[in-house]
Amino acid sequence: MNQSIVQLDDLPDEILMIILKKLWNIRVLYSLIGINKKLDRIACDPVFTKYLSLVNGSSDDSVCPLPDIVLNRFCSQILPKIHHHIQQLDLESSTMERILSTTSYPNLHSLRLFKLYAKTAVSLFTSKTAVYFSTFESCF
Amino acid sequence: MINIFFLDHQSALSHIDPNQIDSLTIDINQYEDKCRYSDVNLLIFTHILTIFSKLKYLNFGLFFDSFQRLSFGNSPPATIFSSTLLELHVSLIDFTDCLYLLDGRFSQLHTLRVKTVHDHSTHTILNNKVNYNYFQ
Repeated sequence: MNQSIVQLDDLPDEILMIILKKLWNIRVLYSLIGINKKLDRIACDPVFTKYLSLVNGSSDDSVCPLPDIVLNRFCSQILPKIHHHIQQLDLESSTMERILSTTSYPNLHSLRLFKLYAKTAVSLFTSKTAVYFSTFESCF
Repeated sequence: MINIFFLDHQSALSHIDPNQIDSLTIDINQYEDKCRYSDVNLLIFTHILTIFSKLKYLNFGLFFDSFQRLSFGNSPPATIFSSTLLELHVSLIDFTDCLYLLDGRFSQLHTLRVKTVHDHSTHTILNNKVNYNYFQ
């Protein structure tokens, strides 16, 4: 009976693609990269690697960081492997710097940054850190 | 009166060539000093247009209830312009601010999506030099 068991990577590429396209691409990458050459090749397809939303939460209002365990694997193993495929990145405040400094993104052309602190945004776009001093003490 | 001092540091975006970015969405939802949010927003908006010189799509202000609104006062800085921007989404304080955006400073703009907080205008300037195909 054991001989009739079909494992995931026994399936033809086309069938695997049809199945995996139904899943969240972050989950596909997290689950398959590093298992074997065939699954690596499939997970690295542009369908899964072109647009990465490295945040949790589907609606803009509830954006939060990915769990540490997921983020650690993306930064150490997944992003360095697929970085040249990535064209669009969704990032949030607390993990943005780590993800951007992990590797280079030569084909990135679209960037969406969520839940930024104003101070962080100023420092991002001026390459400087702003320190505010206001004479309106009531503001603080 | 607000004074802004800068300390040099390495920006997270220094890992990316700004010229490769043609689409940018920025959601700022936490302001340390809510009294001066308008000044801070203007500073960020101006720098984005300066740094990302190939930008075609800019979404600056997604949420109606956020403080990420722009106001240009009596006149916007001359540095607010782009010859590449095709689509702009912004949240503005006043309808007059919207007219400033349509005075020709965005020569290629074909889609402007605006949320305004107040619909009254105390004064108007309209020197529209561009044919806009689509106004949302």
